[in-house]
Amino acid sequence: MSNRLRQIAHLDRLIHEPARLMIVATLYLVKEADFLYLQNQTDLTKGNLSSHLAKLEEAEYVEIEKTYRGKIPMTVCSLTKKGRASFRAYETAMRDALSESPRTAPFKRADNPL
Amino acid sequence: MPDPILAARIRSQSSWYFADGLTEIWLGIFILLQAALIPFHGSWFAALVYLVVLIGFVRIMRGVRERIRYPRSGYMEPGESMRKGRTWIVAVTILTILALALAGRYRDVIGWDPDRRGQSLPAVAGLLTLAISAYLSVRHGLLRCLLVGLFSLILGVAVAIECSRTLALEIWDAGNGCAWLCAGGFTLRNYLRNSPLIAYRT
Repeated sequence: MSNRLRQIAHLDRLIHEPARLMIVATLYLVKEADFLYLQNQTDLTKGNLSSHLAKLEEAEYVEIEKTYRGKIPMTVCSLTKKGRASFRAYETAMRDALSESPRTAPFKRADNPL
Repeated sequence: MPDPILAARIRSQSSWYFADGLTEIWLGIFILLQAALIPFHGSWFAALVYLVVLIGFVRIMRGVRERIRYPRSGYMEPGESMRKGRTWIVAVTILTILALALAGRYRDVIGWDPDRRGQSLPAVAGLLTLAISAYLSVRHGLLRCLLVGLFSLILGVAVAIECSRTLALEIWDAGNGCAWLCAGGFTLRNYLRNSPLIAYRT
């Protein structure tokens, strides 16, 4: 097993969880988004999304602000600097690890002996 | 961005803009306005009306989005890259309007004769519309844009052959504007029917 592949063991597990990865990847591309937008984009239930957001907020990856737009209450979420840096680090580590995985490199060579 | 997760997120984020057809309605109204202002082309009055409508519409659309899109698809403020792209589009539109107004105002000085070279303008504009709508159609899966683009090209070629320059431009603008309005209107109708109004409860 290569050193790069071993990096997977050291991935940020808070982001690595699929639901939280969806949330962080969605928030990474926007300045801020409300709860409903995140729910539509991730297809998570309200309770599920709420609990994952709470975990991300606890780790200071996400900032949650309860506000109003006109008369409508909104829960606006945004990634903090720490959250953005963590996602970038996660993305780089994952890409490095998978680019050297047995499925991508040696299997291609085995399929094509020429 | 090559990563599949982020690429899928970007596509999904972009589709949020076109889900309710408001973008097409905005475009249709703008093109219809252009048709109405053809007799005043080359005057500062037309350029001023364009700019006022452009700025006014940004504010109006924000209000409409708050009432239609946000309670159904949620609220999102675009990231830095998308904001830059939007700023570029608005800046290029404003500069193009000003450049066209200047070119029309001082056409004798720069030697531009619209009566001689403007006959094929609707066909060229139709081709350009088709190219942009084909890009939108492929990038965001919007078949309606491709249909409007095809209609725009066919109409542009037909009026360029059959009608005089001013009439051809007026017909093409009006037809094109109506086509965008219809595409946006049908999309909005389907969106309002299929997307339930979700109260903000968290």
